[in-house]
Amino acid sequence: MDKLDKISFVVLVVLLVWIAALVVRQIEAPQLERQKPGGRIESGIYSNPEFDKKTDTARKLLAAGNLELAEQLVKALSADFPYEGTPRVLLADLYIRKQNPVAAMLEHKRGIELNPDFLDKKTALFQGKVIKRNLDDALIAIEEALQRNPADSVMLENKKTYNYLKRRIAGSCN
Amino acid sequence: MGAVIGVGAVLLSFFGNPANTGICVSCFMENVAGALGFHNDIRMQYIRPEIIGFVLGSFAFSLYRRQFVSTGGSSPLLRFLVGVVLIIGCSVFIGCPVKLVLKIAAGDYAACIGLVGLSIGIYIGLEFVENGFQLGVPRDLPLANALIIPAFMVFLLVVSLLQPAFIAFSVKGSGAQHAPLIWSLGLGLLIGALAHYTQFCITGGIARIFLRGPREIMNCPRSTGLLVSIGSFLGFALVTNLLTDQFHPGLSGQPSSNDSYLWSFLGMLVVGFGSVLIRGCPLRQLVAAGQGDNDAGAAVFGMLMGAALVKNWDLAGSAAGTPPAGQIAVLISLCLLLAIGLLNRKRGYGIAPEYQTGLD
Repeated sequence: MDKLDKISFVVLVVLLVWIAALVVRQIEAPQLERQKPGGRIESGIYSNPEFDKKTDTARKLLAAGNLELAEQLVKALSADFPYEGTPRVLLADLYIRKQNPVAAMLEHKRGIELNPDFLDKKTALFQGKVIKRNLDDALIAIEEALQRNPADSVMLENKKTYNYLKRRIAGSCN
Repeated sequence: MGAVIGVGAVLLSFFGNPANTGICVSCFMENVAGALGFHNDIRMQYIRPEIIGFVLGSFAFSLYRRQFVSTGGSSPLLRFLVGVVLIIGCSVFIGCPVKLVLKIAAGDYAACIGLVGLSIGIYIGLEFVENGFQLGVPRDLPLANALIIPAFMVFLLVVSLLQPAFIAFSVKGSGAQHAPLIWSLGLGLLIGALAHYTQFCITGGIARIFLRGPREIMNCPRSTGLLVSIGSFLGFALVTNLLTDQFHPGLSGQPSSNDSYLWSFLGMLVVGFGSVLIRGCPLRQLVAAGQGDNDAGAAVFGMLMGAALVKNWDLAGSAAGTPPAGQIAVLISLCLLLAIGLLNRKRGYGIAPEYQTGLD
């Protein structure tokens, strides 16, 4: 057994311990509801009747201007369906109506990361124009905040998110 | 070679391929696997003509130069397994070594961590190769064996033209983003032919960093030329990106970028290590398969299987990070490579003759 063998064995042991730790962490993690591949249809809309009903209700509440109830419902939906982008986009809509474009931008980011169909023109979920308008408004709010306090770390982070979303709109692989 | 692949790849992105993905063997393998129905990610289904071009370009040019030789028998199943592992590493990083260079040329600073990982992986692989690692000496095989991969690519070309019902094509997502077929195929053929002629390989070029003096001459005499090719590839891609307004420098939020740096690093480390063990990066495996190397053909089929696995088992990295399954898969891949390295060493021996002819 030479030096290379010895080093390799040590590395192998470290890797095996690391793998075991990751597996244990996975097993012990709270069992969030898993979405089965069959639960999705081609348009990218989650086909759960309860989910559909609640999102419909949330949309109606938003359209009617009942923002308080809409917020409660959408936040509950986000918690119940953590892997769905639609509640995030609804929450973004809510923040737009509340004149808070930066918070809306952050929700749009979460929504897009969960379901890129919101940036895909060929799907019914496409929200590109709404997101672009939201980004324009958010940039104005961020610039104003940065003029007041150029060292505002939260706003500097938001500016990064703005740039990130601009890049996402430009297109990506995977 | 560097100029053709650098300018060509960036232009493919400009004419329709996804951003920073003018050429990416692992992404394109995932597209091909999806088109053939090996996975059901509707965003990653397209028969990429570039892949067909790499193999058929190498096949045609090696025939023309009378260098098409059917060889094999050097641990094909192990190479198949390493092919699977290579795609797992690439998918976690989101890109093969060619795409790594394209990302850096487009201003993705985070890709540099992948370059460090790839280089360290190559160094580890070289340590094994220089200390008696061998997969067996390849021997001449009947010609029919060497025709399987080129014939498979001809089949892919025919079905991509005829588009029968059993082949899936994405209508959205990155699979739907592609340059015109004639451009992709033409550039693929040219790169395949040139890569056969120059033995272009990202892994082989980076190996030069670790090989100096007699080690370079004995182990990898072509590596200096390959490193120059990689340099010119990066330079030409950078200039073309600047000219076509595709250079957007930044550390995060780049297209096809995995912002979990540790896993990007480890993913590329797996790719560098595995590539040295089977004598070449994923692009090199395709080109070698085209010129009659059946062992490289086994690695190509392994890569196709790996492409299906990473999608079906959700191993691939994304802008949101690396999924737990992908993290575990990378660590298992490293263990597998170490085990292959340990089990195939002849203690007390130096570099094996088949590696001395040039680390492809």
